[in-house]
Amino acid sequence: MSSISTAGILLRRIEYGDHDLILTLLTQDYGKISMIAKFARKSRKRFPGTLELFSEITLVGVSPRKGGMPVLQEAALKQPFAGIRGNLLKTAYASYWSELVLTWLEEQKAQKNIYRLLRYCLGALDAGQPPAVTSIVFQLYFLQFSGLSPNLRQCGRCRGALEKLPGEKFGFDLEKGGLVCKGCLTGKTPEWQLSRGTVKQLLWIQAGNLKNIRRLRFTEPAIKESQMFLEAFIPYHLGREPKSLKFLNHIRQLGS
Amino acid sequence: MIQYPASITRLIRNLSKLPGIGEKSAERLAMYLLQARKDQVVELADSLKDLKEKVRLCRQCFALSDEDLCKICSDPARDGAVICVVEHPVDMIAIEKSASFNGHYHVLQGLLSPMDGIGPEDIRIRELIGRVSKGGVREVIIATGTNVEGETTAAYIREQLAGYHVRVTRIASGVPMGGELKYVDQVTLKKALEGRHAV
Repeated sequence: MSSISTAGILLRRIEYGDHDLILTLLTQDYGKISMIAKFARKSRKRFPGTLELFSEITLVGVSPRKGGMPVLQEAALKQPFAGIRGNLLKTAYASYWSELVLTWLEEQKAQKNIYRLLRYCLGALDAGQPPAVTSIVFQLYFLQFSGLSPNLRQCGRCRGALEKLPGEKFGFDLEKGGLVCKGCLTGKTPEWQLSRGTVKQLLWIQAGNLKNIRRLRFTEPAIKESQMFLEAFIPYHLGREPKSLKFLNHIRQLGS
Repeated sequence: MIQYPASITRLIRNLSKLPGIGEKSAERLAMYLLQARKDQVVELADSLKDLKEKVRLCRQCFALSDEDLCKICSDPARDGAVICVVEHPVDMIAIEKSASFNGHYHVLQGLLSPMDGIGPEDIRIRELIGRVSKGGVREVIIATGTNVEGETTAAYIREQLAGYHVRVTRIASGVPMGGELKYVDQVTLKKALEGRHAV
């Protein structure tokens, strides 16, 4: 990777010294990469307004011959997703997705489907699509592309198929990653459950693709159930609660 | 460093902990201090000691101050009904240098940053709401940066102050003085056009 030229979405920027920025981007062709943008903080002309979080940029970077972090040479704004900035809820969701990408993905391993997913979801947020539904879509596909898709087709314990399971509400075994039917539920009732309708909608998303997502209509209870399920499932497999999820919950409480 | 006496070695070690100072620079500084006049070195040592002992945050605006209340907050000539909200004390100094503001300040000591886990309880937002809720504040000017963290913090403050009888404004953003349009990004240019004014 001596010279790179690609598109990327800015996930993180850290101030480095008095003049520079260290950026982490999800790029179209090289996956997650970190770069140094020299004089980005000092110069008005070098990268004017281009290095903002969640923006999609086209970039040219060069790796120093002696090794070390690639240096950003050129950057042009492709899609600023400016509607996200200045909106608390949208920023909170975009931060949550970015943190998942930052913590979950390996460096320099191209993940084009995750790039397309993040770009699509940031675009949906920017365009005013419902953030909660967009987040359900992001999380489900993100899990799918990362090989951690939850098993919603059958009970993870008795292996009974969804259509044949008794009852209209199901628990979920976070460790095994599968539904738990009424007959297999033991002990006290879980904090949250998934109704049959919600499971079917989640399955529809899993089986579909981003092109059809705009046809998706979620009821309020289905949004709540899906949110609780996915925001419990992801931290469980991540091994910790994402910092931005705490912020997101705080902002959601303000709005309710 | 083994050849230096212990007191010099200690000084070099401490100086090299400062940002941007490596061991060689620390050694050079230590040699300079060794040859400097005694009163110069004592003055430097006293100023470092005072820095830690005297400097604190103003109890009202959280700017750096030698007193309980900073010079701006205790100045009767300044308009306490207008509060300018900034991220850090250096931002306050920058506005003061412009000589264009005669109100009081509120230094947040940071910005909301969801991915870094910096939430509203980690910066001085509650104290700002407290100042406004006491009454006597006519306008709150939010002068945080225009990056995502700055805009998020501004939006949060705006929402928190929505229930109070106070005018909440945001500093304008647009083409910088002496700047050329070709170097201005599309988001800034859009904001500049939206915020245009008659001449």
